[in-house]
Amino acid sequence: MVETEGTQKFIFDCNVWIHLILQGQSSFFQQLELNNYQIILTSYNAVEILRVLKRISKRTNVPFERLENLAWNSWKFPCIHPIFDKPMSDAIINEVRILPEYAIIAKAFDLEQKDVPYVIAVFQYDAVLVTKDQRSLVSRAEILQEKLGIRIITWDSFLELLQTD
Amino acid sequence: MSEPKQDVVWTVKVDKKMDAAVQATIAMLGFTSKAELTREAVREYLIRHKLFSLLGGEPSGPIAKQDMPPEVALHELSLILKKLPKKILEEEISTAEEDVANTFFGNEE
Repeated sequence: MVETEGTQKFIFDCNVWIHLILQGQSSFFQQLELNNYQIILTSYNAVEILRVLKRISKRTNVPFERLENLAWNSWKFPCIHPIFDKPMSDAIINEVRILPEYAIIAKAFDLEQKDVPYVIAVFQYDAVLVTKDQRSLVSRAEILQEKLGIRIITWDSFLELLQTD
Repeated sequence: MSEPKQDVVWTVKVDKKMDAAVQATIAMLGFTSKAELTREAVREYLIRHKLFSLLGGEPSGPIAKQDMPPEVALHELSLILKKLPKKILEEEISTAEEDVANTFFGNEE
């Protein structure tokens, strides 16, 4: 992952990713590249999205292998940076093995445990989390910024940022 | 108040070769005991197994089997997802997130 001056890093939650897939607009990702935005894709992030596609494969009768292959190919836009290598199971082991620490973080910041991998990744990669989940993360954004210095913004705020940058 | 943690003790018989290999690994990787290494190894195995249950095997990974431009892949994926009503899609996202969270952060372990 090459960082130049002015690079801004973001992590999209699962809802945002599915929304972007649904929109199917390549121009959006090209715009991100022009803005010097990097989208970090963690293994936990990828597993959530692939799990959605796995469920969708049953609904649509499209083999999961095909959906998975399309997902991996669609993540080849230059602005998207998967931060794991093959095999992906090694990466997910590293992300979710520290369960007691996750439980403590969830309790300390009144978060759902599923949000903790995102909080840690945002902290680790100095990124901004973009979410469509209003229930948990956005409601805790202020305290997370105050205590951990991490930023969590809504999808609408991200779009505003994209237009003004 | 949460219930006190209840542990169980394992007694595992292994051959001398495996014992020697484990001793060497403990020294090399800085584990403090065979028990610590065993717990870590079993934990890794369980996470891997859970991932396989979620996705039906090892994810194919960043190097996709059938190479195609991202624009084409995104468009094709979009057409497939558009076949589903918005409400169903939202339900599937929510359920999938719960599946992943329950699998990795459930009570097991």
